[in-house]
Amino acid sequence: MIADEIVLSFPNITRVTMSKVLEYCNIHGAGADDETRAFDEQFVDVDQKTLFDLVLAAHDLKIKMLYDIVGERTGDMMKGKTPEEIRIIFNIGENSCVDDHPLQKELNPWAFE
Amino acid sequence: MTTKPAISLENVGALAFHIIASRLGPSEAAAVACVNKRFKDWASDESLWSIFSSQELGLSSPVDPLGNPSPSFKAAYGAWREAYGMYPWPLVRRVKNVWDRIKIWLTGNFPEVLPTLRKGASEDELNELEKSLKVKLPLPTRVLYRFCDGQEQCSDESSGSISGNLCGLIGGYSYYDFLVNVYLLPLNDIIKKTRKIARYVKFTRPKHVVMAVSSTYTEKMFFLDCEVGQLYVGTKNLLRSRERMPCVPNGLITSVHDSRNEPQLDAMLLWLEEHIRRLENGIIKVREDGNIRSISLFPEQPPTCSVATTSGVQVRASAVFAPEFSDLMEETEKYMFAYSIRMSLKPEGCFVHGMSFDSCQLYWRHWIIKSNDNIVGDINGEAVIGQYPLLRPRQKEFVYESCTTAEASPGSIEGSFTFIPGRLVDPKGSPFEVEVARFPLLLPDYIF
Repeated sequence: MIADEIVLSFPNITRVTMSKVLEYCNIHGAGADDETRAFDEQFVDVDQKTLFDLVLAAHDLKIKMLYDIVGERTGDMMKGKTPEEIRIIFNIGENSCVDDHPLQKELNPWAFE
Repeated sequence: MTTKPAISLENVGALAFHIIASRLGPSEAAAVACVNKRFKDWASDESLWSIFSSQELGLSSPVDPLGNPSPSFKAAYGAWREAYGMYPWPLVRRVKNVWDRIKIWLTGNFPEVLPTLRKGASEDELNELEKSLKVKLPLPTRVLYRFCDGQEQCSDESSGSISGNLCGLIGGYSYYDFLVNVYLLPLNDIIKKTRKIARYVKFTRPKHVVMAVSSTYTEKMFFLDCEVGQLYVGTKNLLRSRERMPCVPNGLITSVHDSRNEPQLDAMLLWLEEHIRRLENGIIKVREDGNIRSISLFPEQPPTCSVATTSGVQVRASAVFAPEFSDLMEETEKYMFAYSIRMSLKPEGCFVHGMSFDSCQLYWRHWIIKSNDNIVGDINGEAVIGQYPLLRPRQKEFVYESCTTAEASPGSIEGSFTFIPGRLVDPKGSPFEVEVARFPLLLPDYIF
């Protein structure tokens, strides 16, 4: 009886994010097949904020499969982009060490061919 | 008003960089490292670059192209990219992979050859060769030589021993008193031999460059057509009429001078890849003949090697094509094949006529030679190469080599040996026949 009354609390995960996580878990409960793969593709096709919330939630809840697909999607969004483009897409400041950047490029010219 | 996302990519990156980085290649990771300092930290993580170094270059520890230790995997990776930056990176990886496989196989099977592999040539040395011979080497061959500048002739370090090992990487065969063992020439020998042979064999342009030769008296020479990227081997008529045969299927050669269209494949690279594949799969092996070890080109596995056991006597047989003794202008005796017969007695001895014997001796041979399934030869005779091998259990295989010519391919040889139980001078029973299962005489798609 007492087990039913346990209240779970996840202060770092919003209601919206949690409902998405639960949706994922329900679909994947029966194992992977073509339908779940199709579901995954449209599941990760979301805005950055939602995607990042899912990465952190999947990490905290230790749901490996979810963590993998959202992590992969984040990686895919960075592929083939120059550093400037990554900053713009993800709205990242250059912070300190502006001087570092030309140095990095010189050290790894092969990455920019 | 634009607001930054509450959780930014930096936080996510720090947490999940392994899974994110699994989608990025080294170039992309290096680009991400330029975004800002936090990204530089996680995109420079050694665990990430050790994965890249292992996947792309097979490095298990951070070493630079000269073999010296690097301060980190990231530094090592960068050093490799710099040293080979003038070549398409997938080609560099592919060439490194074939040399790594060769060195691994040699370490496990024929380590005496390792010291004969010279260290890689420099860009200057390659350019020098191109200038001297007025050729443009195909890209894969250039990269192959950047990793290894051919072979030194094997010098036997152990004192006093007359016979050294035959260290040619490509290997060879012997039959009667012909001996072939092919090694890859270093760049300066390529220049010398090409010039020397040009005086005798006047190839029309484009110039053919001598890449590999047999280190023995037998003349066997491999030429690279630099324009097209095909490798040729000289036949018996090389000096007389420049006759030669292609060593690699033509259709596989592509983009040899074009650094933009992948993959770049020339005959040297394809030839070495096929050779190491055969070695790795045990199709060909190291042969030990007395004290001399060498890579033998006689196949050791079906379907090109046959095996049959009759009454406890096992016979293995296979043939190898010998282009240097073939004459394509001949009608009937066109293709020369050397063949190797190996026989041994099972541990239980020979069991025949309901009785067991602990030795038996060969007395007679019978061969049926076929061409396209038509019988073209039926030979009977005493002994094999003048010998009457005596077989006992648990002894090394008795091996002998001989040769035959063939009019066409495919052909085959099959037959039988007649053995006497006991010994010829002391027979213990009546003769019995031992099968030599059919083995093919096949013109191969790759000629070594």
